[in-house]
This record gives sequence, structure tokens and C-alpha cells, in this order.
Amino acid sequence: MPEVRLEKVTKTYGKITALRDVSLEIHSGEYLCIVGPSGCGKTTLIKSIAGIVQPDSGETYIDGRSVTPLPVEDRGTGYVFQEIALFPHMNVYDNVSYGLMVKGESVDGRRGTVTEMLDMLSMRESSKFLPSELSGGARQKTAIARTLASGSTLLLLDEPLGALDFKVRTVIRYELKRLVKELGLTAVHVTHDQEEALSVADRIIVMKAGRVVEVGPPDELYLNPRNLFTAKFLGEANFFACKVLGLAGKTCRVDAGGAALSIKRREDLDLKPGEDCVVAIRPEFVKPVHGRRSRANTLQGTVREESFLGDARSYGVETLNGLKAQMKVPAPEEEPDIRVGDEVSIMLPEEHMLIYRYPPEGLEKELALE
Amino acid sequence: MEDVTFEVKDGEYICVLGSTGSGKTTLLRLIAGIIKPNEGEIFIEDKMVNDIPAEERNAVYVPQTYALFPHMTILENVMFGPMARQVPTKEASEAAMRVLKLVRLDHRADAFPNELSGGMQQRVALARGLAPGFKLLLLDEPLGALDARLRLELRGELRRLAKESGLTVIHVTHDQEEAMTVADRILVLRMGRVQQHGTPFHVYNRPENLFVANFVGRTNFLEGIVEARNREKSTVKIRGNLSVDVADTSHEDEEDVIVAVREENTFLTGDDPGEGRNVLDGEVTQVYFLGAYIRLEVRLRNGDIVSSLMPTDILLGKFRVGDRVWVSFYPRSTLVYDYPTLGLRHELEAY
Repeated sequence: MPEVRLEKVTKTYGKITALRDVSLEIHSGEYLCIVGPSGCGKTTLIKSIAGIVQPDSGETYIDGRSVTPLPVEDRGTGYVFQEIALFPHMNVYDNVSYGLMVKGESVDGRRGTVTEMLDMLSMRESSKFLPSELSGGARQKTAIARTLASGSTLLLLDEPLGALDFKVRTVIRYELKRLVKELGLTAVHVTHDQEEALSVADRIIVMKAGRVVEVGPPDELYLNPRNLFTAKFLGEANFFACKVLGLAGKTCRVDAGGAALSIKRREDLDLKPGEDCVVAIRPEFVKPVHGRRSRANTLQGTVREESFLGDARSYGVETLNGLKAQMKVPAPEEEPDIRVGDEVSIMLPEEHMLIYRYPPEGLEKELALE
Repeated sequence: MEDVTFEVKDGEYICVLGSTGSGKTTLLRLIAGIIKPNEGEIFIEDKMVNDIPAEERNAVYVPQTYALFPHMTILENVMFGPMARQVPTKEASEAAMRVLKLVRLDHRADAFPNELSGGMQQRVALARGLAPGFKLLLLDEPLGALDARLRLELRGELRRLAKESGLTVIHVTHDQEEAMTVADRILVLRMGRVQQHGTPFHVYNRPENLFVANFVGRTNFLEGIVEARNREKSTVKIRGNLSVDVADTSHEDEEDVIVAVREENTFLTGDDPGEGRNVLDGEVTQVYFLGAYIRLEVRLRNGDIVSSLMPTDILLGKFRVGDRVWVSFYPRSTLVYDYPTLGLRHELEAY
């Protein structure tokens, strides 16, 4: 299983810097997802690993060997594009065996590999179909099988599910992950879909403006993002501009529009009383509480918006001290007991609140997706 | 498109939900007048419009791929529609600025399309659709070209915009979450036929057939046969001599059926949770972290795979692959469907 290492890779297109000093390691057998908004450099990054894009500076290593000067075909990687390019006049079987045929593999030798790939993707019954007779999902699975049949152990997936319908995407992503693990491959998967990344990745790389913002396992990046932008990009979050009141033991107290909130203190962040900061919490961790008894980290407010999401309901709450918070409540089968106009108390649990230094360029700029 | 009948009320926001090839774009183009139906009639404001050309239908169609004029500024792009309809320059420019404000791009009026991001260009296309002042807006995957994260942000704005301007909207999408959050009512299409038409709550909680139950939300399906029934419930025997109680009593004894239960109504516990619900035990085979939720796949003793979707703060760190777990769900959380003639897998495939 291949390992990949990038050292200070930089790539510019005219005035635009697509990659800025990117260094990272991809472990052997890992499923790595790269996410970030449009134009963050994620596609340039995966293309530079493939050798499709030549960086201006920096080094790329595969299995400890520098591949920086090597062209695409000598790097031994398999690349799957978003745009599915199958041979229209060849059936599924022939499409998948094409790579092996080019390599000069015998008919018998090809058969075993191709059949194995088709079986693994539950595509055997479709082997005689032409691409035009397949659904979008099946076409993309064929493209993946073709790439895998050529024997590459480093699989580079560039928005592989991007052209597919929502529902199909959510099914195929699990098949893809299972396949990579069963074949013992190393996979790098670029996606703009954060749920896709969270659900399949061993580790996620969050990029913004040509830089790596943060790297880590999905649960860590989602639950304890060290970076404001990660909190914003992976999942949804409420953000409040606050001021640090004081620090005591494991708790940090902040002023949020006149209300005092307690937050789990971050060891790696040296905040001083009086300093501006940003506090964040995910909507599903905001809890409605009943009764008027005042409790810690509880704010009173009015429900301004309501929206049904199927497995949950989302509420926009405006608090008495002027904060706007989204709250998500699981609501299987029930008619809602909270309605627009209701007065509610919302609790922001200390352990789920996140705290950040106030960004020098302002909160809005830091959180912008475009 | 086959035998499609439905009604959209004044000021209503409708989403047409379906997969690629379901006919949703065709439906929109029929209403817009770009293509003609072989049979059937289309009415806009009680007037039959079958023979009225597209440009006289008082409706605006915003196609999936928006082509802005690259050599014109954003303002000029948006003014183009009103100008083509002989609206004087001053009024056209005022109308354009008004809609640019609505899509929050009035500050970029003098920019050229290539200076804007994809999301901004999409909003310009929308503004261009709104500028002529038509009250019926036909949107074909209006957020389709955007990143998932940005789409999340803009879908709320789309609904706000429509409601603030009193528009009637028909919005085509393959994204069920998008449909759920923006629509007053959803129309589910499959192979040119309407599968269901109702509020998001209704479509989600009372899917009328297997296709809708699968396409909207995340659902477990168990194949079985009705074993017994009384006035309150039926008992369905599933594979491996296991049985589950369901609230449905409309299916006869010995009938082949499919029992459907939402993944979020399928609970996992480390012990037998006791009476009042269906309890099946099995082994965790996969754990997926989805952010707000954790999704676990469990292989039951009969070999069936059942998934459970539970809030992250409840489930975090509780179960691992290989753990023995109890899966439970209430009889009232189940829906029961006739066993499809062509088999379950065929029925669920949309495409």
C-alpha cells in the first residue's frame, strides 16, 4: 500500500496561487478526503499527486521515492474523474478490461481481474450492457472498476460522485469505501460534499485559499475543530462574537451580547480577559429546555423560523439579548411542540461549545465560502 | 411524462423531486412552453396555455446551466430581459437593481460575470429571471452547480426571496433535503409519473409507496409475510423465523409484504430494551460518522442488514464494529407495503 508525502508544494496560475506551500502525508492504506470551497486548490492538489499538474516548487514522494519529475503514466496511480469517460461502443466488461489489454495482458489473465472487479461492485449482471444502457451510478462504478483493474494501488478520486443524484451518491460512497479497504488501496478523494467526506474518510484535509487549514479524523474535526473555518465548513454551526470575561480552572467565561456563558477551556489557546473571541455551537447541540428556572448557559428567546428536515426540525431562535441561534431537534413522526412565535429557553451545553480567537480580518470574511 | 395532473396555488413554493430521467425537467419545460404535450392541458391562472407561446406565458424559466453574457456587466445582464420587452432604460435599470438587492448582489452591479464566484453567478441568473417581473418562476436545479456547503446556505435564501416577492415557484431538484427545506409541497416523480404530492411532513412520514419511502429519507426494508392480525396490529414473519409487530392491519394473512422503518426510528441499545417494541439482536458491522448523526449498520441473526441513525451526542463512542447490540423499533413507526411484483430491489431503483 503506497504512502504519499508532499513537501512545500506551490502552484500558481498567473496571479492566482492554487497551492501555497502545501505539506502533507498520506498514510499507507488510508482513505483520505480533501474538502474545501470552490477554488480552494483541492483539485490542483490531487492533480499534482497524479502528475497531471506540475507544481512550481516543492517535492512529491510516493513510497519514499521522489516522483516530482515523473509523468502521469510512470507514477502508478489510478485517476477517476467526475466526468465519466467510458467508451460508448464497448460494453461494461470490455470497458473494464481495456486497461489490461493495453498492458498486453492475456485474455485469460484479464478475465479473472475484470470479473473480480465487477463482482466487488455488484456489476456482474450488467457486464454485457453498453454505457448508454446504464444508470449514472452504474456508469461511474464501471469507470471505477476500469481504473482499479489496471492494478493501481493508489487511487485518486476527483469528485467521483459529483455528477450523480443525491440518493445514488449516498449509496455508492459506502461501496467505494468498502472496496478500497477490501483491496487494501490508498485512496485520496476530493469532494465538495462534507457529509460524503465525514462518512467515508479516515482523515479529512480542509483547504481554503490554497492552504491546508486543518487535518484530522472526521469526528475530531467535526466535534473539536481547532479552526473557525473548519467549524464553518464541516457541518453547520452558530457563531457568536463574544468577549472573554475570565478563565477559571477548566472553564472560560465569555460575554455574549450581555449574557455570560461558560465554555470548556482550550489548552492550546491563550485568551486574555477583555479579548474579543468567537464562540460556536452546532445546531443539534442546542437544546430546548422547559420551565423558566434560570440555568447555566441558558438563554431565553422567541422562535422566529421553523423548518422541517424529515428526521429533524430546525428552529431559528432570537434571544432576548439579540443573538440569533439555529437549533435542530430530532422529531421522528411527531407533530412539533414548538412553533413560530413561541417563547423558549435554549441551553448551550458547555462541553459542546467551541471557542476561537477573533479573526483579524473580521468574522464574516473568515467564514465566507466564496 | 405520463398522465400528470397537479395544481400549484398562487404564491406556493413547489418542489418537483426525482432522479435523473424522471421527467422533472420535461415537466418544467412543458409549463414554460418550450415543449408541447402530446395530450393534456396546462392552465396558468385559469387560462389554457397549450397554444400560447413561451414568451407570452407570464412565466420565466431559469435553466440549469445559466449562460450570462460575458461581455456585459452584472447590471446589464439583469436589465437584458426588461429591455428586450421594450421597458425604458431607466425603469429597466431600477428593476434590475431591485432584484440584485434581493439576491444581495447590488454591490457587484458593475462587475463582469468572470469576476464573480459560481454561487454569485447563480444568483445573477436568478436575478435575471426575476427582473421582468413575472410571478411564476420555473427553476431547473437552481443550486445544482454549486458546492454542497454553499447550496445549504443559498436554499434558505431562495425560499425567503420567493416569499418576500410573492412569487409562485416550481423548483426541480434531485436533492430531497433541499426539497424538504424549501417547499410548501413536494411532487415526487418517477419515470414520468407522479408518485406522491403533499407537504414535506406528509411525504416524509406517510410515503405512499416503496419508491417514495426509499427516495425520501433513509429507510430500512424487511421482507416478510403476514402471519397473524387483530384489530390493532399485525405480526409479520421475516427471514430466519423472526417476527415483528406492525401497526398496519390492511394486509391479509399470508400476504407477502415489505415492512419499512426509518433509520432514525430504529434504536440501538447494549441490552434488551424490553416490551412494547420490536427487538432484534445482531452485530455491528459498520460505523459511519455523519457529523450531526452517527449511522450504524447491524447484521441481524437472520443475515438482514439494518441501519440506525442516531444523534451524535447520544451515540458517540458507544458502539464499535463487532459489538453485540439490540435493535428496536415501535410497531407505530413502521409502514407496510405490498411486496412488489418485480422484487424489492427493482422497485427501489429510481433510475
